[in-house]
Amino acid sequence: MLLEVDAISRRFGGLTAVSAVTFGVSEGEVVGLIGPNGAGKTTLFNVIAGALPPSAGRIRFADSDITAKKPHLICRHGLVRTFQIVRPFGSLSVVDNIVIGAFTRVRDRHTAYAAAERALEATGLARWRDALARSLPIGLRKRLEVARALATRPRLLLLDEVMNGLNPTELTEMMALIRELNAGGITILLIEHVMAAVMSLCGRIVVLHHGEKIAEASPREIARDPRVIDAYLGEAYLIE
Amino acid sequence: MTMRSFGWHRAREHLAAGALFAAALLVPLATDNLFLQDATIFILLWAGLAGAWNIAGGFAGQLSLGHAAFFGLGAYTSTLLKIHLGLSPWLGMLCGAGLVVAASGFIAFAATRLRGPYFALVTIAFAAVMQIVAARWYSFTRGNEGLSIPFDPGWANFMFAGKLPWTVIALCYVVAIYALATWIKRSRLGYQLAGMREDDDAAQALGIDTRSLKVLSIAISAFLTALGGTFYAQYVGFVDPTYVFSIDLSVKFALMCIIGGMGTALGPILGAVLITALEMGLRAKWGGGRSGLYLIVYGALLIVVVRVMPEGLVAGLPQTVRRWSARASRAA
Repeated sequence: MLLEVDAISRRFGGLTAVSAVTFGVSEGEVVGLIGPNGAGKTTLFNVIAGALPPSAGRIRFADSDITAKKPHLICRHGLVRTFQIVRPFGSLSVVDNIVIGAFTRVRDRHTAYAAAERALEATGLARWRDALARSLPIGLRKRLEVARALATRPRLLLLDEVMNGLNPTELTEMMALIRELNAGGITILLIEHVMAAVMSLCGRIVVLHHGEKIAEASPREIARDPRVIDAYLGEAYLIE
Repeated sequence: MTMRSFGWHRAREHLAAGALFAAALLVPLATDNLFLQDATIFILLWAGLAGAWNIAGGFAGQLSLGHAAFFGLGAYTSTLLKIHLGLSPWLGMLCGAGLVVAASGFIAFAATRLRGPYFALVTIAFAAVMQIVAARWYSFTRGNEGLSIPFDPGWANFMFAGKLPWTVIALCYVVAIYALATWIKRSRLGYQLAGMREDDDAAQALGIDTRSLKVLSIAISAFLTALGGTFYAQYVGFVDPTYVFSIDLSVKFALMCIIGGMGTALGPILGAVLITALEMGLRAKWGGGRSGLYLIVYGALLIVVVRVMPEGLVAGLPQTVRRWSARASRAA
């Protein structure tokens, strides 16, 4: 297991946002994390990436305990997250945003820019290289979020709704990008509401509801699982 | 704005800085006018201090309004060591700077916990506490009477009869800080600081240890500010808590940097030139009799500058010049 989430809970005062969730992600997988709004998906991401300490439970990543470690250490360890509400460094150019990520692994400018140029190419952002990050439309900002994370050379990428709000073309491109990254050796855990994307990308899906894991199975099984249909999908989901 | 693509932009900045440095050095050589010579030394000193503030306030985005604490501690440390122990102010300067780095830990601690206005408030309070201590600890600091440094010129005493050595030392101070800022801007540190300034959480998620960066940038900034404090004490020959720990001074460092352009190497220098020239010029013209009038004019001019060039002189001047020349060519 690359990532082991072991009985993680997170409470905010009297509210239990995540309750004893256990699952794992193996090297090379694409795993989806789905569930209705408020199910605790982003909170779980925050706990895994170190932005919030858990109230209980342990997290192991690449054979070491990363529970409640600081986000920058977890990132250097090879686990990087993107933000659901994108957070570009707005007054910097697209390439400089990515260079900042690249500098996490390298010390000199030259190598950092070379790494950033590769991430620009990989994410199809090369045309916007010198644009100010805040001038980008949402679809490109999401891609920038991925490019920046990519430049830190992650082993596991946590993608928080990078496909929401994209138009059909952008969606297709983003899905292709995720497949490419995965083929290139990066393991992926993603939160997503765009079901078509989740079903086609993920080998396995974990479903959260009211902070608890209610199912974990392949897309085909998830689509037919009555509890998941009841809690989230609404009706049996057909997989072509 | 990309940090890399504007090679010409950067060359222009270095040219402007070089021209200003050369002009500053020419003043004590070319004129006997003491007012001008004195103004030049102060412009250099303030430029250095604004540049020192820029490391924390501009590059790291930690808007301190308490840098007078570091300035005053620097000034007092070297002065007290000289008066009580006869230690050379050069060594006293290093002791002061070292002490200030330790004291800056307090501000850095606040910076890792508080953001925005809350951080600024703590820095103000910190300088205020220093001011009260210096004012009340009479047996050690002679309180509000202040401390005079006996005039005894010589390199070992960091004291000179002519203005040229003062100008050269102040110039070295500014050039060193300008070089440091130029280096930071292009280094890994500079990029990481930029990320932290833009979005602390996003920077952390990308592997940046923002807590250490805050401690480091505030320590460097405080160290450099303390050096300026000792220079001030030696040059003026007098230190008192009312001035060296004042909020006016803290605001002045920040203001010069903000007006000139935060996070740029040239900005603090331009800001210091503009503000010091305004201040001294207006005071010479309208100070004295109608006291206060110069402050009104000064304030009004600052408002105009900030309105016309909200991002500072470094970014704003070329834009404004272009706009005016475009308008002029249209009119012609």
